[in-house]
Formats: sequence, C-alpha cells, structure tokens
Amino acid sequence: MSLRSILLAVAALGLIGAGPVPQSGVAAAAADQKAFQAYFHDHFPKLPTAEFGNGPYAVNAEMRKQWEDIMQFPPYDFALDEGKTAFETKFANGKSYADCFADGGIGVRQTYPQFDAKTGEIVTLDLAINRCREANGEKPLAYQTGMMASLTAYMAETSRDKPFDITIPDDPRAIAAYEAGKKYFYTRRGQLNFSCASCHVVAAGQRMRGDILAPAMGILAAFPIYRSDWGSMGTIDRRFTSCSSQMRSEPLKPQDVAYRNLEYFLSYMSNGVPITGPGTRP
Amino acid sequence: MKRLLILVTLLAFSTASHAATPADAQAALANAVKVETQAAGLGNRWVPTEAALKAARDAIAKQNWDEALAQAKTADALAQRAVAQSQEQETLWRDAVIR
Amino acid sequence: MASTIRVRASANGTTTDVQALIQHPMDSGFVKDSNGVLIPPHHIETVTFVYAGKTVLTANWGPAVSKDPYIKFSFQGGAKGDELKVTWVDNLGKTDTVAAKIA
Repeated sequence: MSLRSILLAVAALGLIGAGPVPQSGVAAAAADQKAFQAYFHDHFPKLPTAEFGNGPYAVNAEMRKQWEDIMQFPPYDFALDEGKTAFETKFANGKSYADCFADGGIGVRQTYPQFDAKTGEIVTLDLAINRCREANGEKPLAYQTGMMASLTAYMAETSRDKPFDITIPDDPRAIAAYEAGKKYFYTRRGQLNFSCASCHVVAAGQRMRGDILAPAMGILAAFPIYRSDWGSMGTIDRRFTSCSSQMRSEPLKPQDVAYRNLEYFLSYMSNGVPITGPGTRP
Repeated sequence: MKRLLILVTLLAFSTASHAATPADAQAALANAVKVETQAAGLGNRWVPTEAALKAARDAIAKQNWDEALAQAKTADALAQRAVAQSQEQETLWRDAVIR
Repeated sequence: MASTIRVRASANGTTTDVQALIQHPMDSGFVKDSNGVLIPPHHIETVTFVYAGKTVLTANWGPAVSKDPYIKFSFQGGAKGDELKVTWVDNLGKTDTVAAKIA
C-alpha cells in the first residue's frame, strides 16, 4: 500500500469513528448534556430529576432526615429576609434591581448564567447584580458571602422549583465559553490531582471523609447555601474557591472568567433540574 | 504522590551537604518563581508551592539561607509538577468526558 | 426592627412541640479575627420558655453553642391559641423576647 492510500484509509476511519456529532457547537453541547444526564440517571436510577438539586440529601437517607428537621427552620431565613429587603430598596438614583432584570428580577435565577452578546462573555447572576449596581452609581458588593449571598438567596427563592433553563446561542464565543467550562470541569489540577469530575462524577454519592459527594448534575441548584461548615451563607464563588483550596489548587478570584465558564457548563448540564435555592448543606 | 515525596525528600537532604550562600538562595527562589509563573499562566498554581515560596521569602528576610534554599527547591519541584500536570491534562482531560 | 427569635409551637394532644431559631453571633471569645485580634465573647447565657406563668424550659447556653442557635423540645400541657413567651439574655446584658401563639 502506498503512503497516500494508508493516510486516506486512516482519515476515512477517523471520520467514521467520529460519527455524525460535530466536535463543538450547539448540537455537540446538547449531545454532551444528554450523555451527562443519562450517566447520572443510570447511576441513581431511583432519583427523579427534581431530586438532583438536593445533593447529598437525595442519596443518603440519614442525612435527609436531619435536613428535613433543619428545613423546618431554614438557617438561611435571616439572609433571605435581608435579601428581600435589599432587593426592594431603591438605589440613591431612584432606580432599583428590578430595572436591570427581565421580569423585574423575579423568577429569573434559573436562566443564569447567560451569554452576553454585547460583551461576548458569560454573565452570572452575581456579576449581573454588581453590573446593575455600578450602572446605577452604587459600589459593587464583595462576592462569596454577605449581602451578595442575601440578594442571590432572595432571587433564587423567587425561582424555587423552576427548572434550570440555560441557553447556548449559536455564537462561537458562547460555544467557546461552554467548551472552556467543560474542559475545566474534567481537567485535573492542584496537588491532589483531582478534577471536578473525580469527585462529582466518578465518586458521586460516595463518601469523602465525613461528607457525601453530590452528583454534578444539579449541583448548583441549591445555591446560595447556608453551609454548617461555614456557619454562614456562601455563593457559588465561595464554593468554587474553597473547593479549589481543598484540592490544594490556588483559588482564582471570584467571578474569574474560568469560574464563570465552569458555572455556565455545570448549569447547562443541569437543564431541567429545578432550583432548590437558597439551600442548606452540612 | 509517593514519587513526589521521595523526590522532595532527596532534594531536601541534598542541600544539607554545604552551607547555602545568599546568592544560592536568591537564585533558587528566582528559579522557582519563574516556574510558578509558568504554572500560573496555565491556571494551575498549587497551594503548597505558594506556601513554600512564602517560606523561602520569609527565610531570606531572616537571612536563613539554608532554609531559604530548601524551601525554594521544594517550591521549584512542586511548580514543575504542576506545569507537567497541566501539559499532560491538555490531552488527558478528554478521556474523562462523559460520552 | 424584626425580632431575633422565630418560634413555632404546636399543640399535640397532651404535649406541645416547640422549635425556635434565634439570631445571635454566639461569639465564644476564643476566636481571633483576620487581624489576629480576639473577638470578645458575646453569647446567650439563658433562654427561658414561659407558658401560663410557669417556666417550661430554661436553657443555659454559653460559649459552646454555635451562631444562630436552633432549639427543639416538647413540654407537657399547652393548648392551641395559648401564648408561649420566649426570652433570651446574653453575657453583655442584651435581651430579646417574643410571645408566640401555640398553633
């Protein structure tokens, strides 16, 4: 066989092996999502989609019982009240958060993160809140906890039970952001050499020391959370940065492009899982 | 992980043979920072690397050259592993994707 | 100014079940802040639950109880519509009280 025919044969085999799904794009992302959800439904056959927003409580009966007890008086109640008051308070210029969001910001949390065509970047709810503040002459809030957690707690509460509804438009920048988030999720990092997938895909539902590892599907649905370990509220940023540290990987800054892309990927993978936030975790 | 521990232990002992000079310590630190900067560019700074770099800087400030050299070499080894990890993961990550 | 005490009490035949969530920093006095300075102790010392003029529970807390404490207990007696008074006093002499209706 000539070199040319060998190369042609290999190329042909490669094309056949790749199948009809393109390497990246909206259709590829949809195929990723389908495979992702099928994996988790396979591994947790008794769990309805709605339960995936409950993390460890969906997969451990003893913890669920404790959780149901705690939920009679949710520890995030104080933050929720604070968030509602803050959300309804006008800025110094007379405008309010409602002016920055679709539907006045009520019942929209499940559509975040969103691709912003104007800036070509992924905008999370937290970032949108600060953009809203800055556009109205207010100082941005610190991320991770405090008032940011209270505001996002209120906005999440107005979306409780609404399924995640993330869109990846047919824009190469949105697709690139999605692909970057996907790569981040599966890439090992830090001294412990773990990727997000190491714990939340491969070991989902199993124990890591005293904790039960939540499945990646729906893992962001309960945020922001009151985490007993923190004794306070924390946003997605807080969990991303603290988890990075736990993997002995230096955390990135809150709302770093990498974290936003990761949130975009994780949220899109969880389309259909209802918002269970604000939530409480061990 | 075990290989890394052995490597780090060997490095630690190898520096005990003669007293380090300030120049040794500074050069080792500069080297380690260079590798860590490379790791940072790959988005993969490790917590223990940062801790060792800080310990090296603190030791230099206290003029403890032996300690500074040891910490700088530890940081260097860790940072190199981080860079290697990122480079390996450039292709390996795809294997983990749920299909 | 909203109360720091949230109470839910329900009559269950011969007993009444009570749950309360209290907003309080519960600083033990042993924890340092980010600057290495000790955060002074500020924690609830006692919580009393009074029904029909009688104290049905006194909780003696202190530095060992965590922030925003939650308590759950039952007592003999109590009827729907009656009042249950909850009061806490902390080590700085601060206090708060609330009267809840038994459901």
